Amino acid sequence: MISFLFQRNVAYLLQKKKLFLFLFSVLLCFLLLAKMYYPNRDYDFFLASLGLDNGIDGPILAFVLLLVYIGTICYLKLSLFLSELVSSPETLFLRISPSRWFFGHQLVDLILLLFLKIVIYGIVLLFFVITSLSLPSASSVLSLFFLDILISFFLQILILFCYFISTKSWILCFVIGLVFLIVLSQLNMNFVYYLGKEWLVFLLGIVFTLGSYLFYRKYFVLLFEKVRR
Amino acid sequence: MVIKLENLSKEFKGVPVLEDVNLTLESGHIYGFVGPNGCGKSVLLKIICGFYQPTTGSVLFDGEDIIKKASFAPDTRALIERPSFIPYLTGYENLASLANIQKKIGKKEIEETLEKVNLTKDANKKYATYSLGMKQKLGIAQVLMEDPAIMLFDEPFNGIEEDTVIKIRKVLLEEAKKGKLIVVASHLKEDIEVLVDQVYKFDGGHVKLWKEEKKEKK
Repeated sequence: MISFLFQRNVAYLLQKKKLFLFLFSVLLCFLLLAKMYYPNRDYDFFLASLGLDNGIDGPILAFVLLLVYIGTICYLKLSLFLSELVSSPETLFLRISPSRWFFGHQLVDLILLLFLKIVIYGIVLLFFVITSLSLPSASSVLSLFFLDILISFFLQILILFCYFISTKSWILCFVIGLVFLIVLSQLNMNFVYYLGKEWLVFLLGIVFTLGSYLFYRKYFVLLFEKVRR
Repeated sequence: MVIKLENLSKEFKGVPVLEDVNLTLESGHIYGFVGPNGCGKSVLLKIICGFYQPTTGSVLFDGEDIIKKASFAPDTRALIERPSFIPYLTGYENLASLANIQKKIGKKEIEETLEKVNLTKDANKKYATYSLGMKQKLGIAQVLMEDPAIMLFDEPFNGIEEDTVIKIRKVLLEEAKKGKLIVVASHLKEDIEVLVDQVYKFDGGHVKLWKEEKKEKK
């Protein structure tokens, strides 16, 4: 099942999101020019180019990169989720239980997220090697990478949860969105801040995955109708 | 298998599409749904599959309400709209990857199904290169291949050449004889005349038994 879902999602990305992925790569290369704002601060530049720095102490470009990364992963998450609801009912959903599909889909999303992040880290590391900038240690890159995956997955599941809530009630979605905005504004959006607090992000990820699952299980027909009409 | 639709109605944004539908569909029969475009045939098929929720009423599979159970139709396959396949895989590979989900069948059954819909010689071509008729044949093949108890078809023969249509009609008649429950929504008079035992007409949201054929006639 996983291989089928994976192939289907890759086909969807290659077929329908080619332009988006191309523009994202171009933007990524372009934003590497932010280097000029970080003279002699290679580590800070490394963080900024991966969208791990909120840019409060740095240039606005770092903040833009943070938004681009978050926007991209959230957009891809919703697109992939909805594309399967729209196009696969007969072929897929009559062969698989709603629960099995939901968790299978989350796993495939995680694999695709890993792949996307590997490509992004690859481009940034290559840029560092080519321009002879000093690279952070391998262990530091690895721990940043896994933290990044964890937070990205959490944000993806959060956006999915908000989408689910919006299908039932826009007012409820608005209230939850407002609460989150207030909470987020109090949190530090510099990802490095969360190194050592991975367990918290992981726990929140699990809570929202289960919340989304329970909602999906109860209202999946509602979602089908919403996206297919 | 018996599907019972009881006092079923469906509205979209307050506009009624189906009103007080009562139907009993039983194994071993082919049922025809006829009516103009937009009369609710596809909506009813989607409700039977569990993709849409009726506004009122229930959908019972052997007495079990799939709406209350929050599940899709059991042991059912359907061709309602054009199903989505993976474009860079061949027709055979697409069926194999679908069959791999439940692992009920293998290569032999897939090849036999491709033969039933006259798609054997095109089975190794990429889906992206398929014509409308070939795509439709592959859609029918994914319904037939795993030997489901219930098969639902919405305008199944669109774009398919005459000799294949005749062949698939024979296959469906044989499946019904084997005890399968088949529903065909079609605007083609011949499909209805050749295939079905009971014809239900959709008109203004109501569904009425229109014609009952004797199997011996076929």
